[in-house]
Amino acid sequence: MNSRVSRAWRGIAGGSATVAAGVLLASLLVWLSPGYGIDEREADPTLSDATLARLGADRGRGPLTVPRRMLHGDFGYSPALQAPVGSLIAERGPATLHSLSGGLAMAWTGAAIGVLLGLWLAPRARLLPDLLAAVLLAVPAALVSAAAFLAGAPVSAAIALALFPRLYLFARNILCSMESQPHVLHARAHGVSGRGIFQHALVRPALPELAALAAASVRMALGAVIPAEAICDSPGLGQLAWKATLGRDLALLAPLTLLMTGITVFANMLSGISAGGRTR
Amino acid sequence: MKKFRLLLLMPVFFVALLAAAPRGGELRLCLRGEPKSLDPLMVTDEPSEVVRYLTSGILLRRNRRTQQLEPELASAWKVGNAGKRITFHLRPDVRFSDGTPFDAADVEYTLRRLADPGLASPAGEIFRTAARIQRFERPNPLEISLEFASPVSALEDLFDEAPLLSSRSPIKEKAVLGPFRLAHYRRGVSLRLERNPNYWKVDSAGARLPYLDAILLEIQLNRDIELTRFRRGELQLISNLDADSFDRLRRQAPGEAVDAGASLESEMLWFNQSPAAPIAEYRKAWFRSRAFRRAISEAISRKDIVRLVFRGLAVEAAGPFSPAAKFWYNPRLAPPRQDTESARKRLAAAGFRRREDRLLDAGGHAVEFSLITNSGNRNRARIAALLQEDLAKLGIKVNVAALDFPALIERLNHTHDYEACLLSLSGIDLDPNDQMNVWLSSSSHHPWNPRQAKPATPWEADIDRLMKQQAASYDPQERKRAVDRLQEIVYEQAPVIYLVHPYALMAVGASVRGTEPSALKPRLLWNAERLYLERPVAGKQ
Repeated sequence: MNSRVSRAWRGIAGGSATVAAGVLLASLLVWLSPGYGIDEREADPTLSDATLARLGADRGRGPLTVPRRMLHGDFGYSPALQAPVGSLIAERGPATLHSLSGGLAMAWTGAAIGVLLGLWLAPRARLLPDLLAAVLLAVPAALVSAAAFLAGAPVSAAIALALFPRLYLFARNILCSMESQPHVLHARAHGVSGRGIFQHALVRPALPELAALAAASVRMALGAVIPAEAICDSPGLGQLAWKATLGRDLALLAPLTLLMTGITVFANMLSGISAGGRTR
Repeated sequence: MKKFRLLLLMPVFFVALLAAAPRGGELRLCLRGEPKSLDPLMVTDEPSEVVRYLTSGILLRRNRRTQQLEPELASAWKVGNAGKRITFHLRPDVRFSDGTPFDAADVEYTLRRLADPGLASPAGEIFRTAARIQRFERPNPLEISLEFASPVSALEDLFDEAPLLSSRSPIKEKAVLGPFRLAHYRRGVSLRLERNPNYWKVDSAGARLPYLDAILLEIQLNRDIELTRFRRGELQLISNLDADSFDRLRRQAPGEAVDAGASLESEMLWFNQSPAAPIAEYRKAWFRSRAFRRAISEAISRKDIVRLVFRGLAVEAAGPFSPAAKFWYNPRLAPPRQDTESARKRLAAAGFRRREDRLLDAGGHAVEFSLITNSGNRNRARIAALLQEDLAKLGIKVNVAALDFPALIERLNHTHDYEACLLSLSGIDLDPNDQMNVWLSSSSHHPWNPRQAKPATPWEADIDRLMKQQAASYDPQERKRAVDRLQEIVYEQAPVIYLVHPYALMAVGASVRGTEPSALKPRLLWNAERLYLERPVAGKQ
């Protein structure tokens, strides 16, 4: 128990450091990028220099300005979207939460069905989910999202398709490794029913690792949500992050990075604690 | 008794007529970016311009089809004193969207704000420079006269882009006179404009305009997504299609693809002649050589660009004004035809020589330059590839670098660290005054050598003089002569090499009626008050 608590504290400390480093790095990269701070209105030939100067075509702020403000709880104002960053995140959060939860639910259901087909019902039935997972794994998430968009499917479907192969393969490997344990082979030899073996010798011992995979799946889903929302034209945080990147909107990009990094670090921490050091 | 019955039936007939008028529904289309400002006086970008156009009232409007001026909130106007004075007679009984009455005091208030240097309204730029108003006269609430310090060229045109504000409304600039008013704005997602209940215009049958209940403007940067959604029927208009998308749409749904002919835009190429440019002097010498620039222009096959890049949906360019600018276009200037042999002779006469497959200058330097353009534009990348091919025939190596837009502006306007640039001049209006900052040598927008203390060459001094001369004259023919001469100088000196004018390509859904597509912006929305849907789409609140 003590080791778990100390691991949790270590995770929180490490996570906070990672979040801070992520925000600083993101700010620095944007600040250093060519053209940062350039107002595109400067290309408008109908505007004179005097008008541009008065419109405040600023040459950008330093890389530490945004992180420093965030430390004081001020998420700032997005120059590209002309709105407070806090309200933008609050507006779009529910759409992303909806897509993420739907995508995770669909991906886990698909993975569970695939594993059950292979392990419990008929091992030969594993071929079908294996093939599907292999194909989907070979296709980039952006392409899956484009296909989902063209088919008129929701963003959650695109996320599910991106997650399914990873979840299925991880879960199947975990359960397969359990299946080849000596005590399982022994139970089979003694004629214990398949259902009993599945419940007691496969799933129950694998629960910590499956919980770790569940936590890791949140991180994977977050990775998939940016291309999925950008391509499927869904107004969530992923699309917002995409627009902020394209528009070099440092004021928006830094809090979004903070949010995404925070969720990822938290999910990783949970994953690590659940696995108890046995993640593979 | 019969007459009495007929009289009784008349209101019923009138109501039936109104009910038969095409009315209702929500039109959906995309904006290609986030509007930077919803304050009509502070509009600088195209998305904001669309919103301003749909919501703001103006005194006069240039009909985008006929290119003639039409009365809007001014029922009549008169220009006097050789272009130094204009008098407007305003329509009576006009109200802003919130019910506040409109009169001459609002016109004066708006123009004073536009001219306010402290506000620095982009729409009012001209009122702070070439068209300074000296005096306002309001003999009655429906008449206003403006007296300018000097004659103003294209005086009436200034009022096509001057959005009128209320001087008395408690909701300030949110009170509008246009056909629609802003109902809802979700940043980064969409804007919903709803019908202005107090809009003044009626159709020929006496029905109040606009016909539509609402317009939903979705913010969408990806053109492929926009086209896919249009094909699904989720959007009804696309104001700007590239040639590839247009060609695809033309094959799939020929009735929905609309071609309005040459647009005002120009694809163009220029060389950096700025003394401040951090490039080798011998290269600057090439770029300052008229023979070099003319040879490059001659070596380029504009016909191939039209055929291969724009699928025939563009017209070869000879100068800054496309045939879409009916009055200003100079038909005497023919687009240069590809003539590699003539280009070689020009270069040889200027001291360039050929060794094996490379072109060398008089100092023995191999002629090679980098060409920057903006990334993410398929057509421009293809044009650059064709230029590489054409110039390789002269022994010139071209290295193409695609930069994203802010990085490109940084190089063009701040560091001047580039050799040649391929870009488009867009967002300009019909009148040459809109290109004033492009041509004046002192301007920061002067492409090849900005911010000159005094013109570096005699022909640049001529361009400066001609631009100022046309801007100071109210006589259209005198202006036309000056602008024609300017086009000839640009043609002869080739400081900017004009390549093509792409067509104005659009998509109009089968259910949309009343459109009058134009090459001038806003191409499909300029008569938005008369658009209607045959099968109205119910709007979501």
